[in-house]
Amino acid sequence: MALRPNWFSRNRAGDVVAHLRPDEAAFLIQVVGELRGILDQPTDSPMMQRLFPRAYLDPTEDEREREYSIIANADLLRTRLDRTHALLDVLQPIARAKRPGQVKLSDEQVGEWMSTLNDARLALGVVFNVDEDIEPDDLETDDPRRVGLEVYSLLSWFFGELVDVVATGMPAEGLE
Amino acid sequence: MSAPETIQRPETDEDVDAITDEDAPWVVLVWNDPVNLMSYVTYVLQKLFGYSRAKAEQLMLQVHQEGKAVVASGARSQSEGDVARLHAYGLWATLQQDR
Repeated sequence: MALRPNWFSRNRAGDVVAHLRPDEAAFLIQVVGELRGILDQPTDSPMMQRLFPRAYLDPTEDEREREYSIIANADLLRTRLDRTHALLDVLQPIARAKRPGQVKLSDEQVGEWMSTLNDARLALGVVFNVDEDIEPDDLETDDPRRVGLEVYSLLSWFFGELVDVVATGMPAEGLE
Repeated sequence: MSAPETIQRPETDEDVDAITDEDAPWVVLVWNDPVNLMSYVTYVLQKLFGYSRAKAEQLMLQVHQEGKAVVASGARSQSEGDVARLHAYGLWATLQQDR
């Protein structure tokens, strides 16, 4: 298994704990800021279409889709904006500090962090036309997509570690 | 419960089709996309639907390999709710009638 920087862990009580340096918190603040800008875009932008996809694919269900999207997408937009605020409230004190910070995350905060970091990945994935197999090193050093793809890769690393840590708390048993 | 005095029958074949269509259950599909991590999709399916890890992984692999998988079924309103919750987690989900 590849070595991970341990941005997230579980304490003895089972709580998820974030361990971030000020510059790492600042990076996540920047990413969350980008997401907030995208959430202000018109609903027909490609990023917004990915964040708020159709519920009914069938074009003959357009009336139901319209009714669904009016209510559900307004709720989801509010939820997404609230989640970005919640993340910034945690990240800003760490970014302003002089040394690394540790924050214990409640179950609700864990959900907010995962969803928001993933929202940012979805939106940036559209911006940079992310393919499953593309890495920054696959691009030429002067390729303008490279910086963006590096941001996306680092964000995905943070996110993947959080998912792995959270998944260790999920029961193996359940509905079949 | 009392028995009806007469049995009402649909007058035409079209009525039969209409009733069947309206009653057909709705299914919730999750579609493959290049961004969502396999581990995350498994987590979301466990979290939202209470599936075992093995069942959630099986559905996730079906999404990844076949492009989509039915992850839930039921009445339309319930399926709309499931789709909304999946969208809130960033999964690409749709609903359709299982005809």
